[in-house]
Amino acid sequence: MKWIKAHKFLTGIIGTALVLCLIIVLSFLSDGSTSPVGRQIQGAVAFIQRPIASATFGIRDGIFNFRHIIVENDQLREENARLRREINSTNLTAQDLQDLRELANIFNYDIMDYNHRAIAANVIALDGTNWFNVFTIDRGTRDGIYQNAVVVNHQGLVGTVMEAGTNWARVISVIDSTNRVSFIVARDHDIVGILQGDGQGGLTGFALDNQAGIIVGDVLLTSGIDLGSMYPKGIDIGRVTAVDFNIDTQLKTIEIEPSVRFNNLRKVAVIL
Amino acid sequence: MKYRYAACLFFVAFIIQTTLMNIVSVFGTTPNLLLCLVVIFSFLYDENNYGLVLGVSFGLLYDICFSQYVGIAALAFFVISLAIMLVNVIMNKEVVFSVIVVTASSTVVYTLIYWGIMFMLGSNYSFFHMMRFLPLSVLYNTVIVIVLYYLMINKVIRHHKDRYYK
Repeated sequence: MKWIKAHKFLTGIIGTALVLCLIIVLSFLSDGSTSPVGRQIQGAVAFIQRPIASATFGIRDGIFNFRHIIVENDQLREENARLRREINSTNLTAQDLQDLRELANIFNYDIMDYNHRAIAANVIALDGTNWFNVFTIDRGTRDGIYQNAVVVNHQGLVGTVMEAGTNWARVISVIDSTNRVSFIVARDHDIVGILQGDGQGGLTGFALDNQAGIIVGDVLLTSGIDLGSMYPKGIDIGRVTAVDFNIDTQLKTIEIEPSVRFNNLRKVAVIL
Repeated sequence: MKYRYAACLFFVAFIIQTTLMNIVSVFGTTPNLLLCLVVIFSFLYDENNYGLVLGVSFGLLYDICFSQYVGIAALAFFVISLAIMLVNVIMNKEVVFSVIVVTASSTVVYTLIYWGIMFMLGSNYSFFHMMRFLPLSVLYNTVIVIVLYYLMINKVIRHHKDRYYK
């Protein structure tokens, strides 16, 4: 105790360092979820960020002349997203629904429901780092959002909800998430594989069949197979940019460019 | 500067960092305003521990709101602030080159600490991916710290010709 009294500053430094290390370890063990106090703080911050974010986007879009073009653009984007979902859904149901029904009967699984409800949300804050793509949206548990809910936009798969508060939710992008996503190739739904973030801002994965005829330019969609986070079937993930056969692992590995431009997110939809 | 003013400055920087800064992103890189404030306050107000206390507090706030794991930014700010306070004894506050060196080093250290801890916690982010933003980040942060330096230096270092010099 005498030593502590004699070295107050040093004790404070060592104590703070230890407490911070402990916080990191506890946060890691709790899988990144914050405490109820942390959620309250984040809720309060989101309350302040919301109007500033909308002002920011107002500045970015040019508040003087282009409002009507933006409104029209938003409508066209929504229509485009709806049509793309319909196309994917129609293709998938037409080709695979019967097979899936049979499969579900065999394994006694529930049939995948394609009529998911989606809720639109605005991005109110980005993480501000240059490395990750974590952002906050203005919808929360009171709108039905839950942890691991899938987030999309008109371009495709954005990510999943990391944590949800009453009126906010923190979303982590698919390229940052450690979750794996199972995919199918849009032109041939029999080609199935698994992908995840490559640690360099893109996606990497492999086809389950090492003889699969996957080629550069193929568009990948979510397969609907649950790998920890339930991605509904038919969401656009990205385009294959490179295919390679790894002799050591005997796997056909691929590199994927995500469909979504993560640095320009404004509106997203959360699938419930 | 009083603690409450410094805290307000940190809070405003935190809000701007997460909202308005996205407008001024160049090649996907934005300046780290909180790091800039930690650097300038640790450099100029080392006796008051502004950088240390506010850096840890707002680092935690930032982590709660955005990081995958809480505490990483807070620990990085803590280490950087402490390091600046230690090297301050050999630095001349009145020379702008000192603050440039300190800011550049702090940005590198911040990136290394962030990557190191994320790597230990199992992140698959590659070292080179994190480092490729570094040159522009260093440039961006240095420019902001130099601006802050010239705004604040006259209040910290009194010249004997100043009217209210005592």
